[in-house]
Amino acid sequence: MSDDITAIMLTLKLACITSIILLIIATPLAWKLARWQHKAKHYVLAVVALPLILPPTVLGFYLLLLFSPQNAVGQIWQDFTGQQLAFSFSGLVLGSVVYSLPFAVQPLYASFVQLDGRYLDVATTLGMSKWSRFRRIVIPSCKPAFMVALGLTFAHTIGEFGVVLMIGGNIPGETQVLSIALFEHVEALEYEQAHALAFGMLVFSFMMMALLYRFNRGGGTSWTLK
Amino acid sequence: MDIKVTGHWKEFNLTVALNLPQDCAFVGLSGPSGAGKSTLMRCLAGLSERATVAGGWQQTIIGEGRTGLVFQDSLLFSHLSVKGNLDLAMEYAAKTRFTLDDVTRGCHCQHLLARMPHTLSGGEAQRVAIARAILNSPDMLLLDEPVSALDNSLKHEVLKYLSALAEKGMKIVMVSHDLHDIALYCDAMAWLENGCISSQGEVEQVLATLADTVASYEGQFSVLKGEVVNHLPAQNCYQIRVGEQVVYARKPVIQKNRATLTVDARDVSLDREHALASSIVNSLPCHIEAIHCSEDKKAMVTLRCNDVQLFAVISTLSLERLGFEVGEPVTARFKLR
Repeated sequence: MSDDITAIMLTLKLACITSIILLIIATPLAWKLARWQHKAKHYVLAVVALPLILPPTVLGFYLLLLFSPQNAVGQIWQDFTGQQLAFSFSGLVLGSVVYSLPFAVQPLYASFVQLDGRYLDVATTLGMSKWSRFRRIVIPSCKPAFMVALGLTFAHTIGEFGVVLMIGGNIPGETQVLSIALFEHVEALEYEQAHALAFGMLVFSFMMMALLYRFNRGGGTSWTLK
Repeated sequence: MDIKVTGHWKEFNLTVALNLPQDCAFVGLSGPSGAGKSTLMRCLAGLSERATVAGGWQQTIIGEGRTGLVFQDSLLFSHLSVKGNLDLAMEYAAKTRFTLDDVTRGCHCQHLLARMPHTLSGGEAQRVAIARAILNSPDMLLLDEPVSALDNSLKHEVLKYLSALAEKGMKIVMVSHDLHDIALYCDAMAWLENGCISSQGEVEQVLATLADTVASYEGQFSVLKGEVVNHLPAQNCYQIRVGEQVVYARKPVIQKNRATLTVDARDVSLDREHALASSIVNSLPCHIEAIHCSEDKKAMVTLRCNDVQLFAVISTLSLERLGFEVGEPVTARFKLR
């Protein structure tokens, strides 16, 4: 039971860190992509969306190769931190960031594309700087999209299994997240504990999605500016 | 005002040279749809990277001072209340020249401050958008059809306020399809066609050059200007000296005792009786300067009464029956409006 709680806490920690990192990365990326007009744009969008359709094991396999000390990325990480990236919590965070990237980028991208550029023109004529325009106009106008991006990333990270299994393994307190703890219970035929975790996940996922749809529905201030 | 704007897009070129007297403060800009008016406004506001804009207007060098722009759509920030929108404009103003009270009163939106933009009607949103631009204290204010959604009475109230701001030194360019508004409130105007200025200068002069290009004879009108001689409250009208004649009008635009009114060509009738006892109050002795007939059997008669030019649209049937000829003296009559 204490292992399960450790797994739940680790999963929440992973989801929180991943969501925050992704919001920081996805916001400028989605903004740039929304404003970028180039022939190569479709390819970049495809790369960002790849984790949506790729089997998690494929992604996990390549990340595992990338994180190994034989590879430059894994080597550099080890040189700086003294720890290997594969089968570590840091590796899980990096893997989750890659795996959930489209879930953060897509809602923000859609919202930024829909935002009428003339609102920013008005803001420019009012004397607002680039940063002020983003902070005072774009962020509040696209607030629902930010909430959805945050929620989806969080929920998706909580539910990930394949990638985590490939790059993290099953080390309690380090890389054993909830879905893997559940898998281990099933393998050990501990159905009661498995059921407790699975049902908990089910309720949490339902509540999360209901909350997101509530945001998505909008009201007086919906997704986009009128 | 001496401003040059050039810009090239895929299917549109803009080559504009605005040369108007420096003391003009309220300039009207009109032209057919697709002529490039809104594009020109964007260029003047510095929002188009593909355009080159150079020149100056009074003490302002274009591109250096703050230029406000009110778009055709009001584009109020929907996450902020009306007051929030106005406060934001004031927060980023380079200098404080106006107070919230004065501007909201001038734009008739003081009662809307607590409302959210999505609850406003089109006309209300336009007034707030104008107020927002003014509160930002721009050196030059560009208005792209700013009063198109306003009812007639409020439209004139807001235009009067803008005109008063221009008197106090704010430089304003207003795009409008309503030539009456430009004639009544602007010091000068320019007519834009296919990305080029085809006519510019004093409003009456430009309108005269447009007599043949204005969509129909029905839309033609004359501009009369003169000193207010008398206000007759009992009759709810003003007595105005136009040249050597006196005309009466109910709601002329009056600034510093000078009145401006427009007279629609379709409201003007012609006859040969100079001393006719008629219920039509205004009568001006004129002579016919030109007669043009249209395909739909209407005749545009250009008249002159000393310095005053007047237009009358009559049917070709009347023209044939009465046998009017160029150079002939006639009396032009129009009702008190």
